[in-house]
Amino acid sequence: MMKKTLDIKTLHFFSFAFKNVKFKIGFALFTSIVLISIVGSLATPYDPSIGGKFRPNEPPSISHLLGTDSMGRDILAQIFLGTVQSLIIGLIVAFVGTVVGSTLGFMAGYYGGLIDAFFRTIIDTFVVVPMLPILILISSFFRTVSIWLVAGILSMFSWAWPARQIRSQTFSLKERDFISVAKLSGMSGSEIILKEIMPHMLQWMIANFVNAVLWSMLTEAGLEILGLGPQTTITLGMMLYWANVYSALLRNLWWWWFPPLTMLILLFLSLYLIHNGLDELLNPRSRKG
Amino acid sequence: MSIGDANLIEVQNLTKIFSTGFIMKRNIAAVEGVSFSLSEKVPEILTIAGESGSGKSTTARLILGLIKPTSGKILYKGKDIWKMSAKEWNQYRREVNAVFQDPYSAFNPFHKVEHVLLTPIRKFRLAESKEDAYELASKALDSVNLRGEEILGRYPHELSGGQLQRILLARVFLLKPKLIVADEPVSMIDASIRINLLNIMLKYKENLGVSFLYITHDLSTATYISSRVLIMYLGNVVESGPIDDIVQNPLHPYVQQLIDSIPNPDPEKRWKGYIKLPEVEHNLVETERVKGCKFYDRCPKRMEICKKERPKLKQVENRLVACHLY
Amino acid sequence: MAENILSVKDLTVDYVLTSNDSLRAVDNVTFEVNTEEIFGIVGESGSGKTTLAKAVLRLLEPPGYIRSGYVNFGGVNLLEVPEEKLNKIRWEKISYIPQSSMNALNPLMKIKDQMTEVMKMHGFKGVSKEVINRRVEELLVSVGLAPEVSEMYPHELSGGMKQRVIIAMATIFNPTLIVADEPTTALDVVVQRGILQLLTKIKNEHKSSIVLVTHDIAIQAEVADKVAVMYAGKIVEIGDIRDVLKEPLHPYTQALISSIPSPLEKKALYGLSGVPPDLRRPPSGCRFYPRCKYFKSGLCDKVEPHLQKIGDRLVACHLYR
Repeated sequence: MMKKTLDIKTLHFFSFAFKNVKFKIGFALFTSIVLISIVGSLATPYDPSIGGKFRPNEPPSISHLLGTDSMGRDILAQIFLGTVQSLIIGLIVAFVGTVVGSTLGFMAGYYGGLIDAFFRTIIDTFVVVPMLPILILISSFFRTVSIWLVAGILSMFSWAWPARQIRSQTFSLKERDFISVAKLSGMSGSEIILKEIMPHMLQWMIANFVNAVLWSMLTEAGLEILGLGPQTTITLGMMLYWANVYSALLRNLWWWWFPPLTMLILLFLSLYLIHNGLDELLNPRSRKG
Repeated sequence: MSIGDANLIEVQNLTKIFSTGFIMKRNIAAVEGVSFSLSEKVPEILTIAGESGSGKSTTARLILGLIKPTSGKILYKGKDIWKMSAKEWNQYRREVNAVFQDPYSAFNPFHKVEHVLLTPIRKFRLAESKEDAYELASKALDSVNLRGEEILGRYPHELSGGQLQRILLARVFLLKPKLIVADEPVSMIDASIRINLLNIMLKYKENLGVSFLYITHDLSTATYISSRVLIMYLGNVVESGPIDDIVQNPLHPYVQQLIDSIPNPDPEKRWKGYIKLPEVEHNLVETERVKGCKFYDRCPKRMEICKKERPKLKQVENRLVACHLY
Repeated sequence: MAENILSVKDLTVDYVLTSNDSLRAVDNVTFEVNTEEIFGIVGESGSGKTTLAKAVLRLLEPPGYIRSGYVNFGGVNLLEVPEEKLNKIRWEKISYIPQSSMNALNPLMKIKDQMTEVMKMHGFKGVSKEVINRRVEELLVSVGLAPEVSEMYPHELSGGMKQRVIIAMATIFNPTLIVADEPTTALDVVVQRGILQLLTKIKNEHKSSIVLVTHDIAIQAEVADKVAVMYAGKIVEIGDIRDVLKEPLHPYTQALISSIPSPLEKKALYGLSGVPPDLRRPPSGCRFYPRCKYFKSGLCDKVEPHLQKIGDRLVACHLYR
C-alpha cells in the first residue's frame, strides 16, 4: 500500500512540478549535464587523472577538444569525470544530510522530552558553529584527503538545518487532531511519523535535498580551491586548484580554468532554478485553490 | 485486577496544572479536583459543559490518556490508566475512543478518508483480508447513512464537515468502544445537520451500548441527548446533577446566568434585563492566584466570604453545587 | 416612520475559480434595511451571507466579482461611487465588523493607538492628543470597558473584551449603519448575550441600523427586527422576525427552526438530510429541492421560484403561488 501511494505521489509531483517554467529549465539543464558527463566519462578509454599521456599545455584542437593541462591530461575527459565525481559527493552529502537530519528531526519533534532536549542541543550547536574554519581545521589535520573524507566532513554540517526545520514542523503538527485520531486507531510512534507526519514534509525535504546538493558542491569546490581537497581525484574544484597551482591564468591557459568554472556555474544555475521553481510551487499563494 | 467494580470509568480528584514561562513560572490550574463516574452496566451520555477556558477540553484529553494528570486518578474498570500493563493499555485504547470538534483537522489531508477506517481495522485485526476490510468499512458507513462507494475513495477537502464528522462516528461502529469522548462534536457543524449527528450518538448508545462523555458549551444540544451534566467554570465543577432539573432550576449563579443567556428561538421570550460584562476580565493566569471563588468578579450574588474562601461541592437537593449561598 | 437607509437590488456575485469554472455565490439578492432596525441575515455554511455582506460594502476581493446589482445608501450607489468618496463613507456612515475581527487587532499596538489610527485616517487630523484620548476612553466606556483598557495590548484582553473594542471602533463616528458578520463566534454564551445586547443598545441610543449576519437563528430571534433567510446564494424568505419564527413558510426555514433543541421541552427532532449544493453546478429549478420534503417532481426541479409577497412576507417557494 505504501509503495503504491509513493508511486502515485511521485507521478503527481512531477506533473505538478513541470508546470513551473524555472523548474522545467533547471531540470532540463541539469539532466543534460549529468547525462553528457556520464556518457562522456564512460566513453573515455583511459584514466584522465594520470598525467604524461599527452603533450602538456596544448590549446583546444581536434584531438583534444578542450586542450590539455600542464600535466599532460586531456581537459574534456577531466570535465566529464570531474562533473560526475563532484556530483557524487554532492548527492552523498545531500542524502546523508536529508535522511539523517530528517530522522533526527522527526524523532526529536515527535517524542519530545529527553530525546528532544538531547537533540536540540546538538542541532543548535551544529547550526551555530562556523562551518568553514572547522572544515579547514579538520581537513588540514589529514595528510592525504580522500573523496570520502570530504564527503564525510561536509555531511557533518549538512544535517543540522533539515533536522531543525523538521523538528519544529513536527512539533506543531503533532498537536493536530488527526494525530490523536491516529494514536487512537492504534498506530505506533514510528508509524505515525512515517505515514501521518512525513507526507506533510516530503515536498520540503525534496527542496531541501536540492539545496543541499547545491550547497555541498559549492562548499566542496571552495575547499578544493583552497587546497584542502583530494589531490589524486578529479573534481571540478580540483581542476581549478591545479590550474591555480600552475598559474594557468597568468600563462593564459584559458582552456584549463574556463571549462571547469563554466561547468560549475551551469550546475549551480540549474540547481538554483530547480530549487526556486520548487519554492514557487510550494508557496501557497501561487498554488491553485 | 478483577472487573468487579460497577464503574466503567471513575475519575477521582483529577487535577492538571500547566506551567508556563522560564524565569517567572506561572501555574495555571486548567482542571482542579474533578470527580465523576460512569457505570459499566448502563450506557449513559454524561455532559461536561462550560465555556472556553473552563477546562472541559483538558479533561477530555486527560481521560483519553493523551496528557498526564498532575494529581488524581482515572480508573478504567477499576485500574489506574497510568499504571496499566501494555496489554491493558491496548485494551483501553481499543475501548475508549474520541470524536473531535473540527472534522477537517481530524483528517490528514494527504490521505483518503478511508484511511481513518481502514487503519483501526488493520491495527486491531477486525478483518482478515483487504476485501473484508473494505466491506466492514462500508457497513460502518451505512450505520451513519453514508454510502461506501461514494465516500471511501474521496479526500477530506471534497466532503462537508457533517459528512466528515459522520465518518468519524462510523469508527465508533467499527471499534464498538465502551466509551466515546466527544469534544464539541457538533459545534462546527451547521445547525440543520447537527440533529442528525446527535441522533446517531443516541442510536449508538441504545443499540451498541456505547457511553458518551459529551463535552460542549451548548447546553441545548446537551439536554437533547444527555441525562446528567457537570458544569465547569475555570477548571472547577460548579454544579452537577440531572440535566433537566439543573436547566429548569439552576442553583449556582454562574449556571443561572448561563441558562438565562442561551438564545431562545421564541421572539416573545427575549432576554429580560441586561447583562453587565466585566469592565476588565482577568486572564486565566491571574485567577490561579485567587484564593476565593473564581466567579467572584462576575457574580451578582457575591458575598464577603466568596472572596476569601473557595467553595466546595456540597449536596443540595438532587445535585452537587459549589457555592457559599448553600 | 420606517425610512429606508439601505436598499440592495439584484446583487449578484461570482467567484471565478479557473478560466472555465466559476460559482455564483450570491444570486440576485434584493432587500431593504430601515432606520433603527436590526436586520438579520441568517444562513448556514455556503449560503453566501458573508460574501453578500462584503459585496454590499465593496470589500470583495478577487476571485470574487460583483456581476450586477446596485446598493443604494443615502441616495448613492455604493457599487459605482468613486473610491475616495467610498472611503469617506466607510467608518463614518457605514462601519463593518468582519468575521473573527477579534483577531484583526494588531498584536503589537496598544488599543489606544489602534483606535487613534482609525480616527486620524478619517477626519480627526490635526486634533490634539488630549481630545483623541478622551474620545477613546469615552468609546471604551460606552461599550462597558474600563478606560485603562486603552493602555493594554490585545493579548491581555479576553475574547469578549476584544470584540467590544472592535465594536467601539465601529461606532467612532456614529455611523448610520453597522454591518456585523458573526460578531459572536467563539464567544461564550454569556458574553455573546452581552455583545448582542450592546448592539441593541447602540441601535437605540445612536439610532443606528445593524445588519446582523449569523448562522444561528436563535440569535436573530433575540435581537433582530426583520430577518432574511439565505440558502445557496439566494434569499428564500424575508419577514418580521416574530412572524417568520412563529410561522415559517419556506421549508428550509422550517427545517432550521425545528432543528434547534429546546432545553425546556424534550421532543424528537429531525435534521435535514443531504448537503448544501455545489454552487459550481447548482441544481436546476429550486436550489433546495434535493432536500425538500415537499418536493414536487416536474415543478421544483424545473422552475426556479422567485420571491413573492405573501402578506407581509416574501417567500421563494412553489408551495405559495
